[in-house]
Amino acid sequence: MVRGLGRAGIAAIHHTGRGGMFLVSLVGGMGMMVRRPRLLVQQIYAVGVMTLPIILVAGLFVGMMLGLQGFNTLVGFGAESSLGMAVGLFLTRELGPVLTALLFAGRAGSALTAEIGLMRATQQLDAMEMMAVDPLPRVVVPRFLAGVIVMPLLAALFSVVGLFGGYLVGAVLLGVDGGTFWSSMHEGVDVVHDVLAGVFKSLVFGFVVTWVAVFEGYSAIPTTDGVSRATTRAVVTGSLAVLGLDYVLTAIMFSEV
Amino acid sequence: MLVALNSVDFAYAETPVYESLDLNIPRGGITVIMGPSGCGKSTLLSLIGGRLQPRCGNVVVDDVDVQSLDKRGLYHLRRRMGMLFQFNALLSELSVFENIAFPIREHTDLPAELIDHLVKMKLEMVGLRGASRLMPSELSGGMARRVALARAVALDPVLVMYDEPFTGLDPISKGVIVQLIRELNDALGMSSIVVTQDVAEGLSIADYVFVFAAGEVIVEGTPEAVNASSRPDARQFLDGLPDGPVAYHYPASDYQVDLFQGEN
Repeated sequence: MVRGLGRAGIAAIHHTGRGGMFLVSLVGGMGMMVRRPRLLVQQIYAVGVMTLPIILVAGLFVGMMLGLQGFNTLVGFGAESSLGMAVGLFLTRELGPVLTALLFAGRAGSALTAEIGLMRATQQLDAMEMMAVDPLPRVVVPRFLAGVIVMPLLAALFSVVGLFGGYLVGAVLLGVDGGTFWSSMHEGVDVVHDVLAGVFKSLVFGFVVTWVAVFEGYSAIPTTDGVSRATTRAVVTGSLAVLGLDYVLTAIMFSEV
Repeated sequence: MLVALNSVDFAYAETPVYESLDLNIPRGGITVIMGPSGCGKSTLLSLIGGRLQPRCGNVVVDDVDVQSLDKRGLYHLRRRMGMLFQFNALLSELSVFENIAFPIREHTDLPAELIDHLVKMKLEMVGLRGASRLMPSELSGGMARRVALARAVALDPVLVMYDEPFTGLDPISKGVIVQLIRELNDALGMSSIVVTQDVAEGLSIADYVFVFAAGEVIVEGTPEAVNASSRPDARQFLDGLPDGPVAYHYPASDYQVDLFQGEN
């Protein structure tokens, strides 16, 4: 058992090291995006726009839930006028970046892994190499950059729709004054400390989730089972990394100690 | 010689494939590499294309030592090669037209109109100009193979390698591919290496044949000379005999002992 644990540990370290080397290669291949921005635009559409519906729907429901829970809690203290601030802080600091990243890992991350893994399994990447086309800058880098770029945008849209959901439940359904809702949010949510911190978080999450997704796809064993395992690994690793990093970033950015 | 393998040793992990293999493939014409599954035919193409590295020895293609090249040099050499993969390896997100245009767009700055003409010429050669807008998922096996063939010759390479080009095709499609390989080779003045298990098609198309078994060349020569070989291992392969030097049974312990005393 000890030997098995040791072997698994070494394998995990080896895999992580390969991931690091892969990231270095990705950075090295980014020059092509300057020469051929069209590749990036195509992937921003595929990765970002196609993920938008699920983000908007989830954001609306999460915002509505926050409005309801926030109202039920705050009304006990007679502080329902602070509902806008509570919903705003929750969304911009935490739920917007984190839930968007988790949804992104499940929807776009898994799709990226499966797509690149299947290209490996069906020898499309081998064919590119034999055509003297390096698949890393041609296939992987545009997908990676697209993920990093769209994540903050998706998180921002998640938060915006979530705020509207909170307003809908808190102000329209439960009777909190609309002006009070927006003004408390305006006073309580700081652009730099809250909004930009959330944007920074989502940028980090986008980087990690997309890196894991494209690496797992690119290094997938070229079989049906191999691609399936890689896709599962990408979603699990990406999601756990988001939650772990969220704690670390929160501790660094929002700790009062 | 267009391709020379000199004392090449190659192994997958601990499984040896070649030991001190020497092989010379002449320039021009069609060279067919035949042999049973697992004898190292496709590995040979990977070594020639620089996708695999030998443990010892060297592979020379068009007077260039493949193993001495860095990535840039290898890619430069590959621009003079074309390859047809066993399962076609068409880029699934691109149409037939864009698949053939892909290597041209990647390696040239030709105007769109000229690329359009070049692609249509290649498609006309394989009889699929009318299918240019179809996606790979909409093609039959034979059509996909022809598109892959057109893509392999898109840059008018010096050398084209075909990995099992007849596998999984109906007799009509096989005949079409045989004819196309010969016509393209002669019309474009290329050299072709065809790796195949299909004896009839392989011998019908070849100018020169190598028959492999267990990682070594057991017979070579013109199709007539190879077909006349009396070597038992060559005859087993050429005549499709189920048992012979290549054993039908995978090595195992005694059958009776295994049945009545063995655990697994």
